[in-house]
Amino acid sequence: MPRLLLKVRKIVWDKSSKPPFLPEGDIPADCLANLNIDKNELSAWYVEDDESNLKRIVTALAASCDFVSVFDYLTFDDAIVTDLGLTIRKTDGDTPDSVANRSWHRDLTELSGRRVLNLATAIFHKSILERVPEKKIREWLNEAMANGNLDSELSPKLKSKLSAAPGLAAKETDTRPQK
Amino acid sequence: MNNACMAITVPYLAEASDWVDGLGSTDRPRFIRDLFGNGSPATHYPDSLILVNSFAGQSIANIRQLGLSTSGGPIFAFPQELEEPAPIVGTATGEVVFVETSGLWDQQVRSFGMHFYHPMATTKTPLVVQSVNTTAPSRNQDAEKRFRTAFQRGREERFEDGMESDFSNELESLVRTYGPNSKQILARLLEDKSISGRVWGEAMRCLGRLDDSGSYGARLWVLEKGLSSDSELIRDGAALGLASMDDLNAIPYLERAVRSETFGSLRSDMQDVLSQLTRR
Repeated sequence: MPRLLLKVRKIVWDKSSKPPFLPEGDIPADCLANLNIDKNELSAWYVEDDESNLKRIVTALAASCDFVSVFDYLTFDDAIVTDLGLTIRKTDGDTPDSVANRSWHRDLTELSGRRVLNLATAIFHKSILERVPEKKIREWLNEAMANGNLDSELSPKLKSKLSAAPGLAAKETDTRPQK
Repeated sequence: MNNACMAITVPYLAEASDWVDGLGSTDRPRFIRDLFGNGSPATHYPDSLILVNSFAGQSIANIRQLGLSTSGGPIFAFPQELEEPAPIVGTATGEVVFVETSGLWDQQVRSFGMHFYHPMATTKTPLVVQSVNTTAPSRNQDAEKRFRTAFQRGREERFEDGMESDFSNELESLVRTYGPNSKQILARLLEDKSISGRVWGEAMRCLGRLDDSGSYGARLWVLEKGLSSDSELIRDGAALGLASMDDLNAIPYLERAVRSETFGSLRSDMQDVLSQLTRR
């Protein structure tokens, strides 16, 4: 079944870290704050049945960032959207990958507070959470640049980080004279 | 010479020749009167005198001519040109004279027991920032207030992996400014339960990816400490920060964290970071 992908913070949606006060079937309020809803719409990405485009979607989203970082996301069955009676529209995304933008971007529209709660509750219980480590993201970004998948400019900051040593922040230099 | 005890924590940017085993030793620190004819800025630590100026050679000659002693400790010089100032804070309980040069000093401290804060020039080539802790650490309340305010403001922001935020930019600026002194401040804020775990999670990520050699040790320490936080948000952020730093010294802390982590998914994520480090 096709799935939809949302970029999230994994720890917020992690069922094993549910606060003990939560009633059965309820979700942490932080999940709602973690959804990037703007003008009553939520940006999502369509993942093929065989997940053949998953890596490219993640890479495209990572390429939109200011710096290389871990990438957390969840995927859920797109039937959840239709079961909840939500509206989903195919719209152009806004990443440096125009193919991804044209092909796989979706907007969940006409979201009310109640609809968002229902969606978040369904997603919380039925989604698959994943984390792509920072080092892997860096590899994927470099690969995408080499393949020409990223056809518009990365942010200067992101570009400079990609050209630095992979996966490393500044290292302390021990300049003490050796005895 | 003045033998008064004092407590001072002074960040400065050091050269290779600066390192002395025994800095921060338990010897009683001493202040000497700095009477360098050419007005070189200087500060004194137990067992060593650090000069930061481009006239170090002449200053050393003046010291010897005046018969001043550094209690047998060596004198180190930084021959580089002076550049932008960095903050230096501390409480002096002795007589300290700083001779103004090139407008680098904005006050001269002559009295005992005076809390001072003034800029100190740094060398042009930042290598290792050292914090000299002589007796007890000096608590910079202004600095801590700035950090605390940043954390409080961070509560108003939404954070997203890979994206800068006002909070992350502000935290980066503070850590760069205060260097190793950030460690004590962040350690206290980490213990403060009124500070949002969500904001701390973002802080941990920021501390890990910051490209600043001067604060490296402080940041590594805070991240390792974060692994044992009560908040899973902080523990997760700490693990991610350590993944960014990619430092093998974090391995034992991650091993301990993996063993004690109760949330299965987070334990798995920590294990992944541990695997990243052990595979290097």
